[in-house]
Order: sequence, then C-alpha cells, then structure tokens
Amino acid sequence: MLMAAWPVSVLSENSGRAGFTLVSGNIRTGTDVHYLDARYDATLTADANDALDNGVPLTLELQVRVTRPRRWWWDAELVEFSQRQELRYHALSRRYVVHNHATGDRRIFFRRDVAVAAWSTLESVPLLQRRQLEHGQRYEVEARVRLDLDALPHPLRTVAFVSPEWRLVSDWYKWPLEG
Amino acid sequence: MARVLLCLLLLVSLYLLSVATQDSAVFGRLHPWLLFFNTICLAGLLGLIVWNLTRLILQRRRGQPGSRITVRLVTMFVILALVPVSVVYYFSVQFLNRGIESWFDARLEQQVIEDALNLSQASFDMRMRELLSRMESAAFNLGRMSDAMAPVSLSQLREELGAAELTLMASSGRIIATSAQEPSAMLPQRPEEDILLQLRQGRPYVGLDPVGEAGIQIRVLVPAPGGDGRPDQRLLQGLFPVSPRVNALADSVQEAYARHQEVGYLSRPLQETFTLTLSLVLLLSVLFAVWSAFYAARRLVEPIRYLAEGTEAVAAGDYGKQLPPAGRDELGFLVRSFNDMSRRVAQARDDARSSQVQVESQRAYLETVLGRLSSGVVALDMDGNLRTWNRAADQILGVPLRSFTGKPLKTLLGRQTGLEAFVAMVERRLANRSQEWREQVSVTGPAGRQVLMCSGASLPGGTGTGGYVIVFDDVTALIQAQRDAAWGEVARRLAHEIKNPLTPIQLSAERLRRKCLNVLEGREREVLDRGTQTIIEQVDAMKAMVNAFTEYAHTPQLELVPVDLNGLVKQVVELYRAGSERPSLRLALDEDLPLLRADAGRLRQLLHNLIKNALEATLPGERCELEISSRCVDDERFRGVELRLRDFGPGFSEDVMNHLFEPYVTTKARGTGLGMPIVKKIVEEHHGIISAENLADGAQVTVRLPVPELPVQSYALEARTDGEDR
Repeated sequence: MLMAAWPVSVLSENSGRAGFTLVSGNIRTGTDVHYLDARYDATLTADANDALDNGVPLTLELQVRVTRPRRWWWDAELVEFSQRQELRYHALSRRYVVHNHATGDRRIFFRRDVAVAAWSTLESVPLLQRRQLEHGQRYEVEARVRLDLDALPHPLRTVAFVSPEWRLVSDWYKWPLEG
Repeated sequence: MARVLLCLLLLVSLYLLSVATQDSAVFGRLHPWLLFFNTICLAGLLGLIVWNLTRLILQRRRGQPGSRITVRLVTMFVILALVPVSVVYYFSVQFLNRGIESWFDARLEQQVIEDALNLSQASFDMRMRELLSRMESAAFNLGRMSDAMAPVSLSQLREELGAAELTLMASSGRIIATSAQEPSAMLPQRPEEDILLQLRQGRPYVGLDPVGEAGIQIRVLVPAPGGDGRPDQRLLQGLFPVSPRVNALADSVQEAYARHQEVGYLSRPLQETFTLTLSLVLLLSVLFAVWSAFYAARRLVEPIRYLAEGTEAVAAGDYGKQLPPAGRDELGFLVRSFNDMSRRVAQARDDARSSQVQVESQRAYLETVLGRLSSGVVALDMDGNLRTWNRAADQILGVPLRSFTGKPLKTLLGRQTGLEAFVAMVERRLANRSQEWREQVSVTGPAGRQVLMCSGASLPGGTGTGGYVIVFDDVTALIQAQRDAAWGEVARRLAHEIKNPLTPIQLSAERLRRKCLNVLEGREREVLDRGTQTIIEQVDAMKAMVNAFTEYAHTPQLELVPVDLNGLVKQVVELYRAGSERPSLRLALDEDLPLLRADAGRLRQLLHNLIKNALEATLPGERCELEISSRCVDDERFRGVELRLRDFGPGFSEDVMNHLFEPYVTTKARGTGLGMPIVKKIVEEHHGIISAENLADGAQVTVRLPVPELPVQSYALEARTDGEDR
C-alpha cells in the first residue's frame, strides 16, 4: 500500500545557495500510520564545514505540521512536531556518525558526502495515526528542515544567530493528504 | 519613575548578559535574545539622544534662555562619561583578546593530545591490518563453500577469527548468512553505501565503528569468491570487538581530542561573543550616560531658565510672576527668593494703585465740593501760574479758566481786560509773600462792574505742592442792596421830614405876599415880591425833589404785560426828535426781538431817563449824538434782550463811575441826581442787569432784560395796542 505524492511547491529554487532543497519526498501510508519520507540536498557553508571538521556536531531539525485547511478561518492544526538528526565527525575513527535522536539509530560513514546525504535524509517519519483523520476530508502536510542553531555550542550560537553563514533552512513544502 | 524603571531594566538585562556570557546553562540559551533585546534598547536610547540633541539644537538656535548652559553641561558630562569608559573598554578588549588567545594557545597540550590520537590510531591500524589479512584468508577459504552451507561454516569461522559477528552477503548487500556471538543479536547491520561502493571496486574495507555507548568495534569487509568459484560475487563482513580497557582508553582519547579541538575552534567565536557583549554593554552604558547627561543638564538648568524667564517678565512689567518650585538646594532657594520678591513687588504695585485710586476719589470729592461753592476758588503754584479753579471762579471772572491752566494769571487780561485790578492785586500779594490777606477789589466782568471780596492764603508744601489759594465772592449785589436800602431810608425820611413843613412854608409865603404886596410900595414891595416868589419857587423845587425821592423810594406795583421793546424805543425817540434840542438819534434795532413781559410805563420812564441823561451830559453848544441798539442775547449765562445806548460825549468820570447808580451822583448842573438810580431800580424790578462803561469816544450803557421761559405771543396784540395808545 504505497501512496506517493510529489510536493505541491516548486522545487529547487535555491539549489545554488547554501541550505537545504527537497530532492524527493512523499507521504507513505502504512497499516495504521502515515509516514513521511523526505530526502534533502544539503549544501553546507564554509563555516558549517569548518565547524564539522573541528568536531562540532551539526543538528538537522525537521519541522512537520499537519493541518486541515479551513476556508473562512485559520487552518486547524492536527499535529505539529520536530525531529532531530545529528552529524558528527569522530576523529579517532576518522568516521562521520549520523545519529537520529528519534529512533536512536546511529550510522557510520567514512565518506563525507555520503554522510551529509544520509544526514539530510529522513525516512519513515511517523506523522499521525490514520484514525486521526476524518474520512473524505482533505488535509495538508507541511515540512521543512533547518540547521538547529540552538544545538550548537554556546559560544558559536551567538555568532550563528547573527551571521547569515549559519542560516541553513529549506522552504516549507506541502503535501496533500486525504482522510 | 519611568526613568528609574528603564535604568533598572537595563541593569538587569546587562547583568543577565554577563551571566549568559559566562556559559551558564539557563541563561546561555537566552544569550542571543538578551543581545537582541539590548540592541533594541540601544536603538531606543540612540533615538532618545538624537531627539534630545535635536531639541537642544533648536533651543540654541531660538536663543531660548538656559540653552547655552545646557549645551555646556551636556558636553561636560559626555566628556566625563566617555573618556574613562573608553579607556576601560580599550584595555578590556586588549585583555580579553590576549587572555583568550593565551588560554587556547597551549601548544604543548595540543601536541600531546594529537600525539595520543595518532598513537591510538596507529595502534588500531596495526590491529586492523592483522584482522584484514585474517579476514582475507578466511574469505578465500569461503570460495569453496556454497550459500546453503554458509551458516554452518560461518559460525565456525567466526569462532576461529574471534569476531563478534560474521556475515556473508551478496555484493548488493543482501545477507546470505550470518553468525553472531550474541544469539540475541538482531539482524546484522547492512553496510553503508560508501563501503559497498569501495568493495565493488575490489578494495577491502577496514575501519573503526564508533557505536555509541557500546564503544568501538572494528568492521572489516572483504570480497569473497562466489560459491561457484567466481570471484567478488560475495562479501564477508566481520565485526570485531575491542577489549574494554582499550575501549575506555580510546574513548578517553577521543573525548579529550574532540573537546580540545572544539574549544580551540570555538575560541574565535567566543572572543567575538565576549567582545560583542562588552561593546554592547559599553555602548549601552555610554548612551545611557549621554542621555542621563541631557536629563541631568536639563534638570539643573531648568530653575536657571525659569529665573531668566521670570526676570524678563518682571523687566517687562509682569510683576507677581511665580516660578515653579525647584527643590531644596541653592537654586531652589534662589527661585523661592525670586518668588518672594516678585510677590512683594506686585503687592507694592497694588498698594500704589489703591492709594492712587484713593487720591483720585479724594480729588473728585474736593472738586465736587469746590464746584458747588458759590465762591470762586483759584489756586496758583509757587510761580503764580494757574493750577486749580472751580466753576464759580469761571462765572465770576467771566473767563473759561481751563484754557489758562499752567499760565500766569496775567494772561487772563488778554481775554478780559476788566480783570486788571484783580490780577494786579493778586500779583502784589504774591510779590509781598503775604501769608493771609483779605481785600476788596472792583473789576469789570461780563455783567458789568463787580465788586469782589477776595481772601488769599499761601498753601503749605514745596515747589510741587505749594502755592497760593485765592477765594473771592461777588459782593456787588450785596453792597448794592445795602446802599439801596440806605437810600430808600433816606428818601422816606426826606419825604416825611421835609415835605411836611414845605406846604405851610409855601402857604405862609403866598399869604404873606397876598396880604402884604398890596400894602407895601416901592422898594419894599419889590423886595417882598422877589422874596416870596423865590420862597414859593424854591419850595416847589424842593417839593419836586422830595417827590422824586419819594418816587425812588416807593416801589410801585408792576403791571406786567407783553411789551415790544423796539416799539417802545421808537415811540420815545419820536418825542425827542420833535423836541427843541433836536438830538441826532440813530436806531439799530433787531426786528426779531422777542416780546418782554414788563411794565410798559416803567420801561418808558427808563428810556426817558437814559436819553435825558445822555442829552444832559452833552457839553453846551454841541449837538447830542445818540445811538440806540437792541439785540437778542441767548447764551448760557443770560437769555433775553439787550438794549444799548451809546453817546459820544465826554463819558463818565472815574469818581462817578464807582457810584453811578447811587442817588445824588451827578456831574451836571441840572437834574435831581436820581435819573440813573431810578433806571437801575427799574431794571432790577424787571430782574435785569445794567452796566455802564466808558468807550474811547463816549460812554455806553447796557441794559439786559430777561425774557420769560414761555413765549408770550398770546399777549402780542394787546401789547402793541397798548404801546400805540400811549
């Protein structure tokens, strides 16, 4: 039972810039639960790369909202949550570790590009129970990823808040969802 | 209050910023927000300062009082605040930079940590190389083993190799068989794409896997020949544990290195953060100080500005201006003193005003009293110039004194020459500096000759207030009344005492004549004849004289009827034209004369007497010239008819002038001396005024008779008829 849907929003508008761009993403419906699979193309800035090389972990935050659009009022919000995935360089083993905080999964890469790609890929993110949706009703799933500046070490955080080098964020993408 | 709150808020925010900078867990998260908030404060303060500065510049341009000193104070405060803060800032930044650099510039420590890491890696490398070669040989042996047999062989092989987990998989990563040391272990982990890629290229993979809390394990992947003998169809993955001791050491090394690396890397942002925070704090402090400088300067200058404005207001005549209170310091004392002074000045002004009003009312009171006096009052200053007068003085002197205010009394003569005697008397008294005096003087006023009883006194005071006051009464009427009464008495006595014996004397003389004239002859008869004739004639004359007196003394009942004066004049004049003396009579009569209410007979006598008087005054041998004029007079002092008789004779002598209207005053040989007194009596019976004056070539008598308030037209016809009959 696979229901694939391409995001409605226009893709790759800022592919040249540093940040995150959705490469592929779809809503998958399991037996009881709707899942989100999203793969982003991450382009890190020099500062972020530098920090990674120096052992500073980078945390990706996926922000998800499921809403029911209403015509004359604000959209009703069913679910809102965020999920984090961390990328860190392990100096002793010369390996990159991608750690999903939600599942606790730890994946190890020796190539950086593959590690970054894995870091910016979130698969099987549970959205909500199927029974939470009314039958026949239309819903919207919105999601974006960003570099979580709050997770940076404290001295870096202030600079990161001020500097555009650290503002790594994707657009909001929307997927329709039928109840 | 708002200022104190803002100040407290800023202090709290700065304190939090300082705490946050020191890497506190709670405030660390707030740090960027605190920075943001403080930046907003900074912008707000900057706005406030710009606003204050603009205001100050505008005030300075307008030249508002106190702006100059405000500029000076603000400049002073700002310099006082800026210099020490800048010095502290400079040294703080220097210290901060050098301090942080020196803290992280521990080269020896860095070297040691890097060496430890390298050593650890070298140690692992050796072990990994060994494991790789063992795995490679094991994989080679697997070439003979089919996929179906693999699980059994793998287990054996794993034990030989000492691996924690041994997995045989297809080149795509699909697991064929696996064997794990822990039976409970889950499905073996599929190698990541980068490892598979490398193996597909025919190169084995060996590396350390940092697997979280489990520590480190060594992962080795080597290509294994396929079951059918084809090489590189399969992959053999072995996971080898590391002894707990090594694991702990490796963890420690990794931890130390990562930390050291991170801290070294973060020194620059840390320095930047500190500098940013310090700069922000400094800027906030400086701006707050500058703003406070504006505030303090304004507070300090405010009383001075008030004082300047207050002084200006007082200078412009706005007394009593009160300034707002300005604290308890010396400036406040100054402001209080100013308020006190201003209040007193205003009070003094009000007192002066009220006393002025009082003086004015007293003056008005005095003027009213003076105005109602029937006596004339004139006040002169020390130099003899006219200062004050009353209405009665105006009337008595017949001159509007207002136009002579401040001028010497002598100037009155330009208007009324008849006042010469009065002016001369006053000047003489002033020259003598008489303190108090009383004197009678006769002047010629508008109503003819007047006798004034004057009394004078010098006023107390100096040049401004001193002077003289002269009070005078017109006593003409009084004196005249006294004289008239006296003469009336004389006349009655004469009539009584003299007339009575006259008749027997006359009768006796006549009898004597009748009896004796025929008896005597010759010379005796002539003497008797002449003697008795003389007695009879003289007695007749005496009788006539006494009769005249009687008539003078007797006041007949007037028969008041409407009378046309012009008609009366014409009648009388006609009589004289027909007379023997044939005088030259010229008439200048006003034809629009109103009718009088008078006794026609008495008026006729008046005219007779006047004409006769003029004729008698004519020198012998000269022809008498007489001019009679009448006109209507209507002014504020008199309303009626004026009749003038002017002759061209020698005029009245100075002696006669004073007693012209008294009986027995005559310059003529003939006449009883009662002509003019009777004329005056008739005029007074008709409530009229008579005056006589000498002109350059003759004399003039003026008679003024009042007309009644109501017109007397109803009597007009009767009067004419009456007049014509006579």
